[in-house]
Amino acid sequence: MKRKRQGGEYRRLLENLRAVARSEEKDWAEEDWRRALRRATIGKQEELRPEWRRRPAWAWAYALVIAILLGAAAVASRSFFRAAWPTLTAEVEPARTGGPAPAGGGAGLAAQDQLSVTFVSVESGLRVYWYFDKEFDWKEEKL
Amino acid sequence: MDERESRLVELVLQGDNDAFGPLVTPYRKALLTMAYRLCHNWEDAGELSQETLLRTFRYLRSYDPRRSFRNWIFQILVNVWRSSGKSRPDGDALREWAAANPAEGPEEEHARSEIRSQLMECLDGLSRREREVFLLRDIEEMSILETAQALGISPLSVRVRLSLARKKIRERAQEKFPHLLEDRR
Repeated sequence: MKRKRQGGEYRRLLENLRAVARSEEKDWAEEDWRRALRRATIGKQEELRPEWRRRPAWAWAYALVIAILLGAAAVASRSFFRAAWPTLTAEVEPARTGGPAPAGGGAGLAAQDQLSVTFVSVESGLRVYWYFDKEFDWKEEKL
Repeated sequence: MDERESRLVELVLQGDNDAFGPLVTPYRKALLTMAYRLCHNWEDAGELSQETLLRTFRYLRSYDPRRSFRNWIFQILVNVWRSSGKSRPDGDALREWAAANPAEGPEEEHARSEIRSQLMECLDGLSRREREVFLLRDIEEMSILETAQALGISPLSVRVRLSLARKKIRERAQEKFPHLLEDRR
């Protein structure tokens, strides 16, 4: 009910506003209009191109240089970080049988008394095994 | 777009600049008035209209004849207005308008002038985006789709902004000019 009343009110308001809007229309002075047309038709016609195509050539050149620099920086930083932190994966597992004897020459230790950590380099395939005995003394083996 | 307009557009595109006048003349009044409603200043309205004519001629090649030529001009006008920053919905603009449109003579003219200033005050309560939508949809009586095309926004945005604009205008009228909500017939 309230909605209907508001709708009716707005319709009346709109009618009043439109009536006023129509009555306040103003026309050009003839001389101004002719001048405006003359000025408008002096220029040449062109296609309406999208905004991005209207950029000048130097803007495209700058964008290209910046893209190349960013690319080079990305490649350089990638090799730097690879060198500083080589990609390694590590697995912790019970020591392999037949592995080297733990530090301190503890021959005869059962496999469950040893722990091995294997590092594998993704790039070179190099495997590094660390063996720990119960005292956490370690020995290293590279394959 | 009617046949006459199509022919005139063709002529202009073929290099006949004299055909541009007859093409845009039917909209000269509407263009200036709409520009004035957007910026509330006749001087700025003249400049906006001039720039609109210039762009209309310059970009006529990209005009899609399936669309209404009038709406296309309005779309250019709104874009010109947006990029010009000629928006002064403030007390100064109202005073300037009142000075340029003195209420003189018969009582009727005085009353009409009153309502005009009230209309402007109602519009002043709207944001720039709401005003664009309100003027095109409710005053120029464009469809939702045409309004969306003219403003380069989605029909849903038109509905949302229109709803806000109507609410604000109704509230303002209720508060300040309740007689505008009454039937005047």
